[in-house]
Amino acid sequence: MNINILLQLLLILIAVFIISSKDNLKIVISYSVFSLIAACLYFLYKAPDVALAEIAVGSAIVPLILILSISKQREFIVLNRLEDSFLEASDERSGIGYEILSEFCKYYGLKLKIYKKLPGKANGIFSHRNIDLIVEKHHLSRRYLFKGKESSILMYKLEKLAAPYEDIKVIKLEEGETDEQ
Amino acid sequence: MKNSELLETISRVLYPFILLFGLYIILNGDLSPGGGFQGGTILATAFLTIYLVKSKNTISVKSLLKLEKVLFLMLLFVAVISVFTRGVPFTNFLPLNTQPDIKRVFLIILNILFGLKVATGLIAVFTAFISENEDFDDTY
Repeated sequence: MNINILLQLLLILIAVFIISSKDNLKIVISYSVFSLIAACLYFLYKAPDVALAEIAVGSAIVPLILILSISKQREFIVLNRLEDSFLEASDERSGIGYEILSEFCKYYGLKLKIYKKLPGKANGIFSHRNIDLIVEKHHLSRRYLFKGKESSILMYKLEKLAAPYEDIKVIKLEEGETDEQ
Repeated sequence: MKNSELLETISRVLYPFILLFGLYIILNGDLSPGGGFQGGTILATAFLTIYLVKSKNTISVKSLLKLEKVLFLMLLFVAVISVFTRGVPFTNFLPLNTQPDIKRVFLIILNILFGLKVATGLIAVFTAFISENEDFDDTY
């Protein structure tokens, strides 16, 4: 019976660690350790059937899906609506906008992805495409507009980075406005 | 996703063993702990290790869902066979006084069908999750 009490204490410790930790990957790994220990406890309390299901689902499938979603979250998706080479990357001379955005992504450890147009239909689980930034050119004042979500904390850093450039303006939109085609 | 060589090699080695273990749990489900659901999830995890090796997916979600529907209909069909042999639905299609070793066949068939159904369902969920951004890459 001593092993059971030890394992239960370990479960409580790991649960506290999961709640207090800030690193995503550490949380996922300790979550799978948590379900492994839970499976051991199920087995010791004579429920091997539940233990098998817990091992397969709790310590393999759920952490895999979580790790995948974390790796997808590391992308910064930009929609390019310009005609000129403001956002184009090349070996000799890349555009000013591209330099700003790549510096911004380097600061946060994100992966920059620039797309020319939206796909026709989205057939994933989520139909709404999550676009972080739209780059446009204003007709009258000939300034470049960076449109992002107001709720995103990252926008403040982008605003600060773009402040020295005269012809760039950062606009923060309400939630849902960025989805218009 | 960036893949390290170590992870790739280990998942290549582990892949057949996980498949075998899943099949073992499905086939012995009527005698020992485990069964269709548990074995199906283990089969699905075996399949998911392929994604760790090569992150591009090659199966379409639609064909997987079609296969799942066919398996579901087969499950219903196996359950209804007993109407014709014994006159009672949703029981063993073999008569009551047969040997237990032969009566086991019914449970094994049900376990195999259910395990395959669970595996295809989980793989379909995971494939839909992975292919979230794939169509996006083609347009660029």
